[in-house]
Amino acid sequence: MMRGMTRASGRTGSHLPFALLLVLAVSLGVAPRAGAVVFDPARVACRTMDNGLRVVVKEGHSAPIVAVDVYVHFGSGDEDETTNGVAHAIEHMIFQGRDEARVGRLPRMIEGLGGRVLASTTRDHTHFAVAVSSEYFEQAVTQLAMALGHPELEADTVQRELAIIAHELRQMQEDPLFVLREQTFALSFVKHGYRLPVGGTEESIAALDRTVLERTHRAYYTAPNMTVVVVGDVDPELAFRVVGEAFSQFDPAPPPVRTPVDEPRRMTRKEAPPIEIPGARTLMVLGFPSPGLAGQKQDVCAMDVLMTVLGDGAHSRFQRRVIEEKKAAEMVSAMYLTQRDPGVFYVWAAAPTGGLEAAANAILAEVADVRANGITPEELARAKAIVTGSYATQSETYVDQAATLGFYDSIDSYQFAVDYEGLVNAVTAEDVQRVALAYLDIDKYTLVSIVPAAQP
Amino acid sequence: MLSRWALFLAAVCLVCLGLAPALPATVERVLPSGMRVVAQAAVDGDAFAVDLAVRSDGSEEGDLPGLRGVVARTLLAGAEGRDPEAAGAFTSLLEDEGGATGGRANDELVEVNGYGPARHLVPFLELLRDALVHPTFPEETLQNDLKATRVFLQMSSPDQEMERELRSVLFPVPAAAGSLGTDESLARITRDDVVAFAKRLFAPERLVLALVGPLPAEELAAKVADLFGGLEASGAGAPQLPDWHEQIRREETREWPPLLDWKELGVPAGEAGPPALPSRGIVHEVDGAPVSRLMVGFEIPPVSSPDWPLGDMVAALLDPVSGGRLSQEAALAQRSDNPFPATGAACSAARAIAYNHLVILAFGRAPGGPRFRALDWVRALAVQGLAVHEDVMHAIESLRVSPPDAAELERAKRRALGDSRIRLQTARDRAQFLALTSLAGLGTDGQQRFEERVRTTTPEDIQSFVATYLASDEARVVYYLPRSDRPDGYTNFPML
Repeated sequence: MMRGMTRASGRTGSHLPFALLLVLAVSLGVAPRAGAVVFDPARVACRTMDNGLRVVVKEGHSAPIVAVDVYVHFGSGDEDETTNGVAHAIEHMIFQGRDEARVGRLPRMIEGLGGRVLASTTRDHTHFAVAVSSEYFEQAVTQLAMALGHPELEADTVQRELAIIAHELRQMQEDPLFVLREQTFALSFVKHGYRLPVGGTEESIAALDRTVLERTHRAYYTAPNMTVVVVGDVDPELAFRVVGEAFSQFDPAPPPVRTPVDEPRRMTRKEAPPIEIPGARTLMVLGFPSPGLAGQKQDVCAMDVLMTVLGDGAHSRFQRRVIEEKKAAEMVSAMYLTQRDPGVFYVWAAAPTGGLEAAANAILAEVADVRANGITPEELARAKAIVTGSYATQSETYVDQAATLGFYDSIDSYQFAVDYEGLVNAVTAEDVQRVALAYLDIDKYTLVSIVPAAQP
Repeated sequence: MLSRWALFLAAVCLVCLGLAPALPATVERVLPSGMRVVAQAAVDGDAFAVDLAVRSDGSEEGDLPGLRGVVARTLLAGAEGRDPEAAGAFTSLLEDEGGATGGRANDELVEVNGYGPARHLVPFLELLRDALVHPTFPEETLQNDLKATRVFLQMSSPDQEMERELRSVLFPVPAAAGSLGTDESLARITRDDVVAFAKRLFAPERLVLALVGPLPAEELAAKVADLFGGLEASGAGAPQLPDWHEQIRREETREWPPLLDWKELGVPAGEAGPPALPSRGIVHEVDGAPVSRLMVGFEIPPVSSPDWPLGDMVAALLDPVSGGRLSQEAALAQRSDNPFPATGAACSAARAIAYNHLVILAFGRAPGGPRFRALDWVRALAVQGLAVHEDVMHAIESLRVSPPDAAELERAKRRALGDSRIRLQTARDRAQFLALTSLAGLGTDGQQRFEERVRTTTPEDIQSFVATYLASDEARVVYYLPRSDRPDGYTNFPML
């Protein structure tokens, strides 16, 4: 609001009465803006604190709540076989370090303020998300900083929580799509840490102990290795001050250097033997290389459009041609998670029994068609509308906005979230064909599958 | 002529008003047909949400349970005068762009809704208006919906079944029997039934249209008035829905079968005998249930009651995650000497116009260890469930006997307020809430009233609420046990 007043005064000089200028500024400031972009650049600010912590703040006043997210730039992609699962384990110790009442400290504190808290680990980062009424903003930030800086690392607690994690890993193995996705990543990379499962394995978890967790926490939970995002009903200057003070305890030392991985270029197709399970449906995941965000923003946006043309929505090519015309699959969808480094674009499908090969061939035929012939102007326009429309509806809440800003800042810069709609709208049909040719080589994909076991 | 200083001071006041966090402006209008419009501005964001709601229950369906749901889900499939494929293309487009259209019926409401990017607001309102006036209910769409619903009835998850079962125990009347219908009733519904019923159900004077969008509230309301102002009242008015509470009270004299046969379960002599379960409840053995589940429910005041927010307060005082009373109970404590550790519990209060309830859900996996070698797995879970139930009732009773102290009450208030605000972040959630509170007669300030009541709640209010609504003989129970031939409680690919 103060920025609005200053601009109004500067623009019109002394030609209008001062009071009228203020009234104009007020009315311009509070009116809803039809057709507003998701992230108005004028409302998003970023500062780096003295200890290297990055803080991003977006102000909003349509609801009396504030979302506070912390992204630690450390995920399973930074691990090796001996430490696989440590990022997820530390997340557990911060989030679910349990007392006798079986309630984690952090959830108890935040829910006691009337808020909600979630945590998750990916290949690129560890994420903590809090949402509270705006009057408890300062307390929530203080509690969050304290929990992140002081995970529960008593030996008994560590062993108990590692056992719970092992139990969760067993449960996740019961989700067929999870199993196929992890297999895809394992096949897709030779050296990069992305090949490792996010939560580790039962063996790698068993090898962790308090010393490893403590050492890793000390190395990676440092100020320069974190982004804190605040979105909602809070004064930006207050937000910067409160976050800066609460997180001033964090070490200004940089994290261990992330050495660039010389991942060998994939030269052939890779197929894993099908997993046979009694009574299961036939499921498959086809995987292809995909661009990472660092240095490949244009490719990332073009890939989002390509993914939509191929596999998102009732008018996508997979829906129309693979499912409805050829009846080669019962469900098909394309997925592409933007990551820091080049990752995986994958297509998962559910096929009729015995129809694995036919479904794979039908999907590959559509990929080949885009590579050879590109996409139509109608497909391009529709895909862009879908991507930007979904971006708007999925970024409606302060919780979603904080997550989006932090997600991109942890792998590149929050600015990508702000610029995303414009970047997508600038994608051309030539860009889409170019990324299809560059990444979706139909002779160099990975294929993993689940099929029903033969009856004895 | 005002002095410069007076102008300056007036402007400063205006600026200060503008600087305060602006609550979304909300307006309500009544159109000539009697249709009510509630419109709220969304200051941030670029999404719209519309919720068209009508008060209705199963008594209107006659011998065709499920009819309301079919009508709600298929209303937007087409309208006379429109290209038959255009409606489908539009809803498809909306879904593709992260939005959705749909309809649903529960035991007291029917709703038709839509949300998506704001550029589709007017096209959606036009489709809705045309469908209300001259719906086409294409035969193919109807048959697909009936088929899908019949399949859905067979595929329900244990959690969904439990919720339905609990409501049938809490409110044992036809109106609350489940709004999807039955396989048999759905097989008998015809297009003529749907068309005739839609005309009665969507009489304009019965409708509330709630709209949230990125325009000033008055402008949104004006748009709706412009598009829907030409509708005419049917003249029939809203039907007088029965008050089912009288029938519910009559049901209380019914004999309910005993919940568990202890002799059959073979609980060894010497085990601490858990108390009898309440007389009204259901026990099931269920395929596909990886864990045992216990639901305990109570009827609580509806949203039209000034005491409605106390349901949320009591839920916050009990919920273990925020340190509520349930977290202090033995069954939920992970202690090595606890033979019956439940995996977790949660407590929540619903928001309903007529039949509101508070639910405590607890669940647990098979207890392990040598203590249970004498019991087979199912019996162990049964005993566990009863221990959990005992502790649930103990936690509730403790609120009556030892009301919350100042710190505990303050924490519960924060939880109730915070939770209600976080639940109203999206335009869709707000539109639904506005429609609900408008139908309940709360006007446009339902959230303000809720917050005010929470802030003024006293320990005595909590005691009185618990004594009135959460007495042990008011508890209704549903208990699910996994079937005894399952391995250690985990499921294999449950949804495929």
